[in-house]
Amino acid sequence: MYSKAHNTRKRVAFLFFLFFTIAVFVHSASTSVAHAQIQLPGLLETIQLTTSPSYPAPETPVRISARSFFTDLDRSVNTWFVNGVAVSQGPGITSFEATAGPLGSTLVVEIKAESPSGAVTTARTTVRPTVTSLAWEADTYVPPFYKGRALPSSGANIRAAAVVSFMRADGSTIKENDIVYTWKINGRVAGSISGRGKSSVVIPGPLLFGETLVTVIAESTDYTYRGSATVIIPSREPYLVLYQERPAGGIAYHAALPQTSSVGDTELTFAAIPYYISTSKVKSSFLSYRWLINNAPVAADPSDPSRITLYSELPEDGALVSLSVEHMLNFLQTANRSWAIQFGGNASSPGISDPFGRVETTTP
Amino acid sequence: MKKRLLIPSLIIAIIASSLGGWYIFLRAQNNATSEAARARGFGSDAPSFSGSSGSTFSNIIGGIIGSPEEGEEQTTNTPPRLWKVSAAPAAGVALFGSSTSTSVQFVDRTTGNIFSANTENGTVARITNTLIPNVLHALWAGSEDVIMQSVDEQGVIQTFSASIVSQDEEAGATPSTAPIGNSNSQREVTAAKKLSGVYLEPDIMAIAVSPQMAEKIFYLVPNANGVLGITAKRDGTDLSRVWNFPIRGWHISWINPDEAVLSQKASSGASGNAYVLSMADGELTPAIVDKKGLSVAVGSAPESILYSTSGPDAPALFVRSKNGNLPLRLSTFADKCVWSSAEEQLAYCAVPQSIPNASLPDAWYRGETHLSDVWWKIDTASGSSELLLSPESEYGVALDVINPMMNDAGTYIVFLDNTTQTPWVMRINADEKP
Repeated sequence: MYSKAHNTRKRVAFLFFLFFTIAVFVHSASTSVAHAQIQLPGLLETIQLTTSPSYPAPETPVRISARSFFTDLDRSVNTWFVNGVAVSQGPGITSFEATAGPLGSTLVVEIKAESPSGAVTTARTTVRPTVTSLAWEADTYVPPFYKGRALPSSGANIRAAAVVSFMRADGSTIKENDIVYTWKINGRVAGSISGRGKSSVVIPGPLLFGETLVTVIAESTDYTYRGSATVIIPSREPYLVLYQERPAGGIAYHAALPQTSSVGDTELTFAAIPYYISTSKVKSSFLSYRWLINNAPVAADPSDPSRITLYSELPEDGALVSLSVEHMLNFLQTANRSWAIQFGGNASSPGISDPFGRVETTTP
Repeated sequence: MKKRLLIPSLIIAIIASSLGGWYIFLRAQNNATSEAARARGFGSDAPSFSGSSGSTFSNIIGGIIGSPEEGEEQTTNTPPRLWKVSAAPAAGVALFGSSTSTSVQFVDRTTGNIFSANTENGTVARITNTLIPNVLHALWAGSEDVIMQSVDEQGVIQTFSASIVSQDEEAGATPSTAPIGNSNSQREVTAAKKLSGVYLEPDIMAIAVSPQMAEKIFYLVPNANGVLGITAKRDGTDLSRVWNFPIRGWHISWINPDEAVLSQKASSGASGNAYVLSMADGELTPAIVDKKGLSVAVGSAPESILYSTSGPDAPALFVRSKNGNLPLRLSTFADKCVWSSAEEQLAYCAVPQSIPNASLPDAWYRGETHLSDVWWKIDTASGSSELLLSPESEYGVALDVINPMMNDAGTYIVFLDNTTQTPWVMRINADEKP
């Protein structure tokens, strides 16, 4: 008797445990998949609705899919409603595609599943379109007025900022201090830089030939709105570009010196620009410039080692100009390049003899 | 008797002819010497430099003579449809005027002098002679107000916000206009004015003028946490911080007093974003997000944006309008596009004839590659496009268009050629004569 009663209690306990486990599983699955967009009427909701993409953008298609552990949705007659209006009905229709509205709008999608036995089960989700974007740049050098992005070389830092648009129905937006930001670097949550209001981060950039995967998940403090953005940031080697510099006109940033060129002048000043190296100025004590002319070292101008003036006495003289730039604190940030320059000859193109293509200089 | 008379007559004749020959010889020598002397400058007035015409001006105007449209210019006095306004590099170019009269202004990059070119008769005049060396960027807040940016010896960006005033404006004198040189040479110089203004705070990374309130500017300056966005009057007063953000590299398109479009600086492999910035509260609203190599050309409304992305082989151009995003069949950078001022749905784009095998737009921005463009007119509503002008085939010149701008009447586009930095103006209508 004792043993029978004991077994019965064990069975009851096991069933209770099983029921509890399933309930917890269903609850956790629904909250982790449906996120803030899905509202479950209760713990024992038997249909889960998921959206794809997880965080729909405004005016974009969104697919809502239903699944259930308890209801055979493939055999039930499913009716889909959007904002209360039936839009699709039929047996086995387990997903539905809608178009998200503009920012601030809500799309209430509901499914009513009627099983062959007549049992009716419903589930509802609310789609609130959001936009989350990630802006980033590296703290590396590009010249003034350069139209392109500062890219990260090995060991450079990256500044990243999330711009989130969570708009309520009344048109007001949720401010960044009411948003919790979770940052992931290469798939791992970076807890120290995540948190409420932490919309921007400074992180180490990718190592040589590598890339950094940055993800931010933004969620309103009331769990109503969520969004996510991911960027892949590849490493870029520092890159040397040589430009002519003239007293009249300055550095000709628009006309880089090609690998091989012929210049009409016999005396020219060149400015080297080390793109994507970790510095704010080219005249930095952290940068080492080593110039070689025809493979012989040449002392750089200590006042500005990024510039060099070449003078040729012989007509049609040539020079192989080589430059190596190293970052004193980051030995992975180095750049080397050579240029073959023919002096006193015919310019190979108008932009070489004079970077502005002038027939004669316009020195006042 | 006859012999006695004959001999002296012969002697007199020989002497007379010798003297005549000697005179002719000396005269010829004198002419040659005079020509040589004139060539060296004898007989010319010494340059006084009191006027506004200097060597730079001569070089700039002289360059026009060598431009490809020289023949038409000399015979008709009317600039050709595609007109190289100056042979000297410019830091910026702009268009002013009404539907009946349009003038081009450009800032000489070397001197900072401002020149004006008349699109009707082809005259080019120097407006100011204030020396601002090596100007890299110039923009206008009206035909009498200009902002110039340069970089000093320490690598700091200097921004000069100035108005064009007469040399003796305080005395109330009115400027005069006087032709120089041959009256038919289309060279004219206005008695030079000067620039009077202030230097704004250093290291302004990007700057824009309010489209409706020319006295207001919006600019970005770096700080320890990223960048500050500041509105101010053009004289640097009435400062107001409207925005701060961790990312520094932006392009500004100020479309109306309340909104500006900020687009991230582009790179081929980097996702870029463009946002609408509310000037009232500094809030960003996404316009275009997560596009690789994104660059934009913004119309008069934030809904009107042409944008380009870096494709696997060539850039792809799209239009974002009230009707959604529409891919266009032209392969170019939005940097080369401008919206029509006359018709809302029209835009004009310079489209490269071929795309070099390089990482674009980065290599183009670094000045390592140059392009040869053809102008297209685009109906952004339908997505259709129409060839407008081919500089290379019609004028024999390869132009790499940057900074295009259209006049209010929608009749002209000015731009810089990225290869030479020279200013150009193009008339939209091929048949119409100014």
